[in-house]
Amino acid sequence: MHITAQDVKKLSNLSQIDLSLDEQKSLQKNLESILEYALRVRQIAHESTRVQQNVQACRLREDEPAAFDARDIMAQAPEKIENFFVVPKII
Amino acid sequence: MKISAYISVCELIELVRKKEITSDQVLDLVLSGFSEHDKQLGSALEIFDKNTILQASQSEGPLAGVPILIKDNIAQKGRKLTCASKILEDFVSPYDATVIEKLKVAGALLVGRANMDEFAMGSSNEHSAYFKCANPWDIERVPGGSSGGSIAAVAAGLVPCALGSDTGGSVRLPASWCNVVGLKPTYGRVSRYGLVAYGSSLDQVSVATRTVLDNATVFSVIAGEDSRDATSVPLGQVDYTAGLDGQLPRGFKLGIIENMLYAEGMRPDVRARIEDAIKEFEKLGATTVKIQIPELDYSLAAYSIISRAEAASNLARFDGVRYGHRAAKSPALEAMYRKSRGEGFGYEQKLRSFVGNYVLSAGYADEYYHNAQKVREMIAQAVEDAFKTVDVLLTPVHAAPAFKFGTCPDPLAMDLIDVYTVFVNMAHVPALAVPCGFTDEELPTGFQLVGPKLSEAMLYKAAYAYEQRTPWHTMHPKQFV
Repeated sequence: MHITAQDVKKLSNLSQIDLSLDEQKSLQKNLESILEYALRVRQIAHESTRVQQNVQACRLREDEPAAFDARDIMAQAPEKIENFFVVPKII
Repeated sequence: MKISAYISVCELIELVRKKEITSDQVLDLVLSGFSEHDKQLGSALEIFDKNTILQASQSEGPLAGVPILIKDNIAQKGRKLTCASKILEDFVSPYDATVIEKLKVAGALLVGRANMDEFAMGSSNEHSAYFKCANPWDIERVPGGSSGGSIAAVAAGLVPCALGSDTGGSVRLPASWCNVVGLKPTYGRVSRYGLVAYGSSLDQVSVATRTVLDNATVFSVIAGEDSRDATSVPLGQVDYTAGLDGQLPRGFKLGIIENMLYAEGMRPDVRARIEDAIKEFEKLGATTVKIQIPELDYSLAAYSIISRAEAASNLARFDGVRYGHRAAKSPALEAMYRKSRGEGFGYEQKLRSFVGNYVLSAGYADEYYHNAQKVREMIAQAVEDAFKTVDVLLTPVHAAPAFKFGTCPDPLAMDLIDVYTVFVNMAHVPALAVPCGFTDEELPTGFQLVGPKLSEAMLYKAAYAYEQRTPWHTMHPKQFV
């Protein structure tokens, strides 16, 4: 399998992470080797009969609001106005 | 009062109970130990001041006076919670994790934040964004990761116990590389509330100590159902120290997975130490059963996919909006996300986010993620089936001992180190890493006992019986004696 510079750009967009040029090159190489290795799952996945799901059903709790102090949540906001997080404009 | 740096949790509990030493005095010794040795070791990102440690915990309880170092991905209220990342450099946790609440009520002294691989992603502790952590047995070598700081501090006698987290081997691998006992519990046995998530279907808070009895003592306090963790197993407190009598259960059958022990790449001296351990179990009365579980040969490939997919999702929250690093002067919101994450994350976070998003993306999800889930179920079923014929599995933890800093060639090679440990997390079963001697270059090595879900009591019983017949738990790194 082959990872291109375009793939890296697309993943940078999907992951919302900016990269330096060096990182782009390095990630391209390492992505390829890791994904190549991961493809091994194809070798036995076809034998699956899915007889059992290894899933613990999520237990639900009562719909009761938990009290918390908004000041704790807002305390570390990089920028805020009252209880609003301030962010740059969305274009 | 003078006490050994290598005093056990249980010995310390007894001294404190008999008032032969106070918590205050214990802390004086611990804090001076870190002050004297940790510049060289790098096990702690921060050691707290004595007064705040004492104020945080109850003065009495089953762990009164026991100093514990906490991996820096477990929330401690009012303390920094960085996950060894720059993106959370100044973040202070507004709440305690459930395990922290339990330790405080039990009287444990939470002395600081342990160094780790950034966001628990790594197998060597070389990926901390702050500084490296060394292996106390050879400071030119890594301790293992991602819970390297936790384990190194225990191995070096700086604390008798530390908490780590284990997603694919992150406590068991460093434990075996540093002559420490490390338990990865059954998935759901310990609450994940307050553990910063890496792989939500794989993570468990884990316990590192120098002896099996110590491990069982601390685990008995932190295990238990928690309504704040929806994946928590509905089982209350259990005393895991009961039944540790130096004997194996009657008719004990020990499964040896041949395709692991005799896999290509396993160092002969590491294999030899494990074979010696198997002989000790046989002398104790165990019947060994050789089995093959070929599905396990695919566990790392499936784990690579699932863990990265979950990591990509779990890292998405670090966006500079509500907390953590925010890039300066971003013209728009999306640019702020991209720059903040680009500046704040380490290389592994970027690589794993990319892998994770790739395997989940349109056109690739079937081939990677859905296939990986199928393989995961096959692994879990195969492991469950194995326990129909044996009580416990004994497997290697690693193929070779701890390597020198900077010598692991690339991320894939780093991932491959976990080839023996990841199946445990994939199958949601417990595993206990136990020291079993030293390699030809006198570096620690170990094995892991793997049991059915909720079989921690049996794992401890078997491990204790082995430990009491062997000298490993009495041996400590020369540099730190």
